Amino acid sequence: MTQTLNPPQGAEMDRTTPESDVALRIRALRKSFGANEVLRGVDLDLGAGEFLTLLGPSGSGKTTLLRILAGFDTPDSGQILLRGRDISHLSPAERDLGMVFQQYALFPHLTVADNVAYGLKMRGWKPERRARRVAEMLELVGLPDKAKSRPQQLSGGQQQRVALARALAYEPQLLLMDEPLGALDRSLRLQMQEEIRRVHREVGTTIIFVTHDQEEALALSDRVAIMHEGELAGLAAPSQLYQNPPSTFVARFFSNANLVPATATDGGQPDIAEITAAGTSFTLPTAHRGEVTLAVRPRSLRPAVDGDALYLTGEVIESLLLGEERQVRVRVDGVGPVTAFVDWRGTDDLVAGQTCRLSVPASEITVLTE
Amino acid sequence: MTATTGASKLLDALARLVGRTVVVAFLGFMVLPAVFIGVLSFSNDPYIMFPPQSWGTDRYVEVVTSSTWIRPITLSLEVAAATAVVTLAVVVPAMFALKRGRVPGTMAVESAGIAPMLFPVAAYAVGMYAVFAEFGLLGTFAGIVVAHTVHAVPLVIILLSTAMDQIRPELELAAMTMGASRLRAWAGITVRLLLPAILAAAIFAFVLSFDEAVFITFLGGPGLVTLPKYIFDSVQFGVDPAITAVATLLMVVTAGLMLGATVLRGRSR
Repeated sequence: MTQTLNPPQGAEMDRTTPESDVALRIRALRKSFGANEVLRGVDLDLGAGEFLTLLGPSGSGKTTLLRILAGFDTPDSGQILLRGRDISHLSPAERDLGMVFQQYALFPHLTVADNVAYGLKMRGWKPERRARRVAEMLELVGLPDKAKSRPQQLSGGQQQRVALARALAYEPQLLLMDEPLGALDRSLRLQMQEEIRRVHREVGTTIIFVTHDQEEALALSDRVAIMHEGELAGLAAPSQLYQNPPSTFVARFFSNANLVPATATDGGQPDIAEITAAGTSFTLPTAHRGEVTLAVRPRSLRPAVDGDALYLTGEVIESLLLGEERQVRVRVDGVGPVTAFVDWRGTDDLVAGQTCRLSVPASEITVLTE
Repeated sequence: MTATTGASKLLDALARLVGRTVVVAFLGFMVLPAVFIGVLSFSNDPYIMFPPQSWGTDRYVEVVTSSTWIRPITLSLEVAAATAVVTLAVVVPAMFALKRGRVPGTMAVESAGIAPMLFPVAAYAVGMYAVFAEFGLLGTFAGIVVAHTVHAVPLVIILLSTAMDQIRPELELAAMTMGASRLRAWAGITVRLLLPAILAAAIFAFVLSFDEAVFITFLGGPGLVTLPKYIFDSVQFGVDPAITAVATLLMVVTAGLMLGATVLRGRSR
């Protein structure tokens, strides 16, 4: 397993896709609002049929990127190629894409069927063909009996399924989804994730899904693009980003990792370093030397076990039993508060004020320099 | 315990009594004049007296047949219709520019549009008199329509602004991603959803103009006599009993229109 994850920005990122399979290609996309640089050169290739999640905190530029892709805003510079066609300066109508909004954006004066038919009508489909397609789409999202209902008569989840059917009816080359599950409650969200996965499997459309919820990103996507201050801070399969974050930002944002400052010194071998952190010393396979940061996920920590690499000792600040596991916050000198999720068994004495010793094996530590 | 209950019961009874008195007095002052005029209008007496000595519809017949009443009524209807159309022609596009365009100072423009509402009508009319004299608009049909439009714009702005705020811009964006041009999205989605509010606003503008007596007095000159002006004039030289019929008609039609507008506004929610 590689733990050297500090290449020059972008080199490690999995941005390239074979030419023939590229559905969407974004090149050097920039956008400023006044003095505020919202996108600072975004490059991204999307394979045909790929499900990409665009994840980032608010203000990271993900919404702007989506609006530029949809044609609601124009980029200052850069290119957007959809199936090889430069769409950067086309109107939304000319781009041939579908969009699902957080608040559904169904037309309240039209029936569900007429909502789904809207894009087909704009494309001049004959009424008969339109009706057949609408029936197909409502079947796909499991609402065949709601054709004549008004959107207001449906629940939030049903409305969002109609919105999905509406955006997919005319088979757009790209489907944009802007936090589509943000307005739903948790159980419905999980159900809709399932639904979206199934629909994606069945229709195979290329999808960009914007969210700020990393669980959603993990559950849904082929690849995750993490945005931070107008740039892509990470772009890879979710499991890879989760286990090997390329930067401290991704480590903290995507896998909620604890960051432990450390020093790496040469031990004679080029690929192995002597690490000193939080008063313990151990070796890790890394080429980095000097000041580094160790990323440790909360579930990699456990009550101290002999033979582990890093040991963290401190006073318990907070201890919450969450069913099968216990969330413990420990204040470690020179590190700060560390969060750990440990198996609940035998942790009854792990209460606030107690001293607690945690450890993590070498294989669960990622060495980062930025 | 019983003492407090007794006291509070007494207070309750008192409060109820006062409340009822206020409501009755209020309704009395609001409803009585209308009822009074209504009753008086169905009389064939040669002049207005209460209680009426004879009953009949002579006064209504006179209003609809004699040209003295028909002429101001027709003019008022024409001015009101023109005012409603011109007001909407100004405000609807302005609303789209303000709410959907990227115009800086949106709030300032909207406030400026509402400003005429804050000026005393008589003072505003004097100012208009000066301006109209300059442009030769005094005593012209176009002039009075302009004045009434200025008078109606603030209310129409308020009505359409709130209605438009309830239509999410995403609806247009959704239509556009599905292949609609911006104009088509506006016409097919936004204007369609705005329609009840637009109709309601048209009625309000119509009624405001139809009912307007101050501007016409200043700006109408001798030639333009709308219904409110005619009523004023006729009252100055002695009371034509047909006024009771005109007033009743005015109240019924206006109330009907306003009711319609309110229903429309409710529907646009």
